[in-house]
Amino acid sequence: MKAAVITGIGKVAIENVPDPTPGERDVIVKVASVGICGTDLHILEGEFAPTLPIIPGHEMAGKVVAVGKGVKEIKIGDLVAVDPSLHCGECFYCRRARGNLCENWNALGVSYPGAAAEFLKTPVKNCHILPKGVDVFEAALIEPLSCAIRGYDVLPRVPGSHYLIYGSGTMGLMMAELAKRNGAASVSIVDINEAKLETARILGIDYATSDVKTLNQPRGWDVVIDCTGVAKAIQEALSHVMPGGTFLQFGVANEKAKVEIEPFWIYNKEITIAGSMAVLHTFDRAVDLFSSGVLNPKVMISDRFALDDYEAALTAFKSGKGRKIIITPNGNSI
Amino acid sequence: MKAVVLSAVNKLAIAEVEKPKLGTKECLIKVLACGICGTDRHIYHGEYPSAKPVILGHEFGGVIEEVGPSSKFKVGQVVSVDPNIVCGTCPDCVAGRTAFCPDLTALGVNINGGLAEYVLTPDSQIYPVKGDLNPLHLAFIEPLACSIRGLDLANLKSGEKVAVLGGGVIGLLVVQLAKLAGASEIVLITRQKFRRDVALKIGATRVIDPNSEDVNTAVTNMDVVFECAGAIETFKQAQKISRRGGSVIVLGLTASDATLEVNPFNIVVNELRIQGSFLNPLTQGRAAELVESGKLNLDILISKVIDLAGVQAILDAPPAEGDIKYIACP
Repeated sequence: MKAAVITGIGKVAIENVPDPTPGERDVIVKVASVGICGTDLHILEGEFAPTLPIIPGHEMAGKVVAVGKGVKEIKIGDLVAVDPSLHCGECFYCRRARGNLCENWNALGVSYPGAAAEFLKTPVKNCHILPKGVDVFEAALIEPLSCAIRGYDVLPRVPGSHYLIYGSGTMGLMMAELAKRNGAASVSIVDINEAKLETARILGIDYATSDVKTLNQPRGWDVVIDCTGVAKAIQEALSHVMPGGTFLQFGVANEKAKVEIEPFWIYNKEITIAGSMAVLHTFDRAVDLFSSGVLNPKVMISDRFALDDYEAALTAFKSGKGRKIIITPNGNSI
Repeated sequence: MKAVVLSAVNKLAIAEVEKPKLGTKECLIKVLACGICGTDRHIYHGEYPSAKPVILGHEFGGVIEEVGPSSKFKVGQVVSVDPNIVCGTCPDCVAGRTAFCPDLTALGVNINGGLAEYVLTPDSQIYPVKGDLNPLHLAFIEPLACSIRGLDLANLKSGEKVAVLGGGVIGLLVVQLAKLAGASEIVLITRQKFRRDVALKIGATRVIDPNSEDVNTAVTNMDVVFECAGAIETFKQAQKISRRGGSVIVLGLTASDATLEVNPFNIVVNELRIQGSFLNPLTQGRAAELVESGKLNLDILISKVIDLAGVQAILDAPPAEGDIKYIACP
């Protein structure tokens, strides 16, 4: 089969690789859609994957075309979204119900072959059958949505709260949509990119601005979420948390990035600072929420590329233009 | 090897059975201690479904005698065992609700358990503990893990008032957990004087004999009530003695066809929360660490230590007055 392969740091090639064959409890998925995410760029730069070469792609959906002998719950022809998480289930964190912090953490598209290929091999437990009406060519959005839901599992989710979100990319927009679903009194979004702010306005976010000072919220916001991972934005975001409020670090910052906080302020204003990492028992709910229409895929997805153009898609993603970029390794039908 | 085998309802025997053969990712454990639980009695009398024949015993630990080729454990390690094996791949497991796995099987219920000299245990169920742990304490880790699940669900806050209905092992473990969690008042309600006396020694601030006092007037305004007796009467009391906005955590198992009336109006105007707590989903590790820490008084809960031959007599009779926990040392 044809696959995009990260062969070395900064190097992507389209290669012919052997077709995957299913083990006892595996499923082979013919990939319909696979999203490009900031993590893919990190992998390209050699930051996440322990071993190259690797087939990237961890936001994915497609059609089941083969199943292992021990698979009873899924059949050929089923349309599925695939949770990329490969938690070991045996380490300290897995056995404390915190598999996203697994000591032997692996994921499809990160350390095992991913979906930027015609076919994907996955354990059956990672497959979630798509409800009727969900377009498999849009269902690659379910994985980032499941990460966003994990963020909300960490947050207090008090109805009537005011939310401020830094970053109007796909994750910021998903966090904003979930804020609405969690009973937000208002949702504001900050970005320096005017085109991205326009998307937020199209989605009906209450306030979208490049300058938070233009927003009238003198006490600050109950919940402030960073979806940029940029130290300068995080520093500014922290200053807008209301006393008694919560700051959520959702964006992936550079490993060495630092911001300053005042311990007295955390004490005196009872500030909570929390983090949220990837997917934890949230994929099934992401399938249901996606099916219920929480996201507008026509707005969220800006561009589609063929597998042959994987490198061009990465370049487009890096340029910051557009929104979610989807690769369709098998064209428009599967 | 010797084992306590249930061959049919009400038919139990100490049998000589073949020592089990080791698979790839499992260990053969030499059982050091196995607790006898009310569930064992229910299984014996056919009131709780089980495989037959099966070796009973689900509250156990021991020392690893042999390891499979791909096991990550070592011969000689002292370990606690979570008896509840889940598939890990069904929608409930994937969503983190492992206690509801439709393929849940349990050592000592559906497959051979710990009332034997040796037991086969998959790696996934094994939790190593320190080598010098009192072996009898291994028998408490599983019931403690179930009790911790109850405390997790209770969301008990420092300074809150707690009532515990029922003075069996679970009730007396919950008393100790509530003390560790900083409860300001811990009231234990049970008929047996011996159990009330034990409770006062391990953290209860007050005890009530329901035969001589009206529970509903003697105990009021409790923030959290743990129902650990599994009776309709205590279930009713639990709702009465909780404060407005309080919680009732149900750990006790009533008969599966028992019902009672509730007043929905009172649930609304009192914002009462009634929450069941089932098994030990992913709490076994914390239970093992808490037992190792020595912060719990477990010795006071041990009534009798027996060998395998003594199990039948224990299961044939209801628990004797004053007895709390029987432990078999195969």
